[in-house]
Amino acid sequence: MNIDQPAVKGLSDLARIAISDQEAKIFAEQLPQILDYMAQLQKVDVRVVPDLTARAMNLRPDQADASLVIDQLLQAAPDHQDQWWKVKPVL
Amino acid sequence: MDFFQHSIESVRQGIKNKDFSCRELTEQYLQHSQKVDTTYRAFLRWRDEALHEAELVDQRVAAGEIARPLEGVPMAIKDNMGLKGEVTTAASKILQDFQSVYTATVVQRLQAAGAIIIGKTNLDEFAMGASTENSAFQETVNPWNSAMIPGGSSGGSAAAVASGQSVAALGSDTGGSIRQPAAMCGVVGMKPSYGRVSRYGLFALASSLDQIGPFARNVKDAARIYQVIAGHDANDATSWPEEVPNILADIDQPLKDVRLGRPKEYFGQGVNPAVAALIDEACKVYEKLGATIIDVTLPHSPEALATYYILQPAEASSNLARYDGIRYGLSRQEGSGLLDVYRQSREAGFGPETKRRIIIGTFSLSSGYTDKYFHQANRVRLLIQEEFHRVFDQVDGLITPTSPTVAWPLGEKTQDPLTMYLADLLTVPANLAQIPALSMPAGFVGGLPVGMQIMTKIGGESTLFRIAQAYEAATDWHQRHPPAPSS
Repeated sequence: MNIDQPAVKGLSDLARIAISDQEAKIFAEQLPQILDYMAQLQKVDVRVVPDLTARAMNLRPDQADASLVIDQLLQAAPDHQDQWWKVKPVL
Repeated sequence: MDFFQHSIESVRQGIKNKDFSCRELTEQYLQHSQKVDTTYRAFLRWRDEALHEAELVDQRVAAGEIARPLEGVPMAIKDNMGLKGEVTTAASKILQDFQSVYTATVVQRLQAAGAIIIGKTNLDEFAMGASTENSAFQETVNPWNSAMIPGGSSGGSAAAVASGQSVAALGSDTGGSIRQPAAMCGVVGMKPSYGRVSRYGLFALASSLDQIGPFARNVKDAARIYQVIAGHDANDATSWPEEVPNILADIDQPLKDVRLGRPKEYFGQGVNPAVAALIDEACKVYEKLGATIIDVTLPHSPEALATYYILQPAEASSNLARYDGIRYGLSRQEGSGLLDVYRQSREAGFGPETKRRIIIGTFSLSSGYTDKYFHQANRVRLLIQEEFHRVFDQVDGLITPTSPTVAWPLGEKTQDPLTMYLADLLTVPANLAQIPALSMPAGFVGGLPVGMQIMTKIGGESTLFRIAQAYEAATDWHQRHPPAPSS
């Protein structure tokens, strides 16, 4: 598996992480090694087997309750106005 | 005071008999911990509130109330579980000042059972690592040899219990993060069946693998803590509704009629022969105790690690998308647009291993690679589950080493992520199969502790603790403690 520096930059864009050229260089050396190890799975003969651990999710009724922590949540944000998080321009 | 003398029972008895008050005990533990931890660096912070909470225990005792299961027991919590109004960092810069707005279910249950939470322990950032060296804040050392890693990711909790700084602790285990540091620090560490303990309030790493479990210096203490934290929680949709059986009821039952499997894949390639030899010695102890040892095979074991290191980063990349600099945590506002805030906050807030795993996960979930990597890994995961299911028709439990090696020198593997991942070789299968597993002391190689791993079928915690207790009763490894730190 070949992942060069531009490919690493492309993945970090997708992951919304800015990375330095130095980091991209290190990752471009490490990621191919790691993914080559993972490639052993391609050789596994996979049969269709049932999911023996699958269990039904125990869902609660979807009812809105009064939230007691709105103020605390807003205080944790870098910027807010009234009951809203304030963000920079999207476009 | 000998800080190693205390178990859950001795603390409860001591408080009940008024040998000491809970406040006195808590104060002693806090003072002792703050002194010796300059060597171990297991704690990220201590809780002053513990003293007040201890006074409340003393008031209950004075009022003649019946002692709760963990009455007055000093415990430590891995810093990826929330306590309302208190800082919880997951050892990440991105959460350096983050205050939890609610308390994790497990912590609530410990406190309701009378435990005193004395502090929060160090970990690899967001619980990703096998050495605790990925913490953004400090390096924890192994209490048996301060040049060595304590294991990870719950290295702080393991070192705190091993060094006598707390009677017990909680950790979280996604691929071995309780069992491996327990092995390396010479204590008991246990990962429950997936769904048995609520994950509500645990900072999510890989949601199909994460479980919270206990660290303790003996098997019964671990069982007592498990008994308190296990059970249904409506706030975790994967939590089981079934009642938790009374684990302590059968824990001393002899092992006649018990069949234990020795899976050959766990004793071969990549495993230090001296470690494997000690676990074979343990198998002989089990035979003397009346158990039958059966050679079994789990042929897909060699692929478990690759399976894990596709699924875990994929789930982590999705879970960690929430740390974006908008709603909480570190935020970089220098750029002009929203995207700049995301990119720069995450660059500044995440350490190298976290970035590496998010990028690997992003890769295996990206268009064109999903089927080859992510879906293929999920298919192999099902094969691994089926294989365990089949082997548990033959045997009641499996006996293996916990870790392929003993603790290694600090810094040895930090530049080589794949070698670091290989440390998880023997622990990840239990997470993939969602079965319970426990590590306990089984000897020493080169002066460093070796852990034995026991695994049972899903929901088989009673059998798991019983198998562990029989070995502990027949050996004295758990009575050995690391030397006091040279000051």
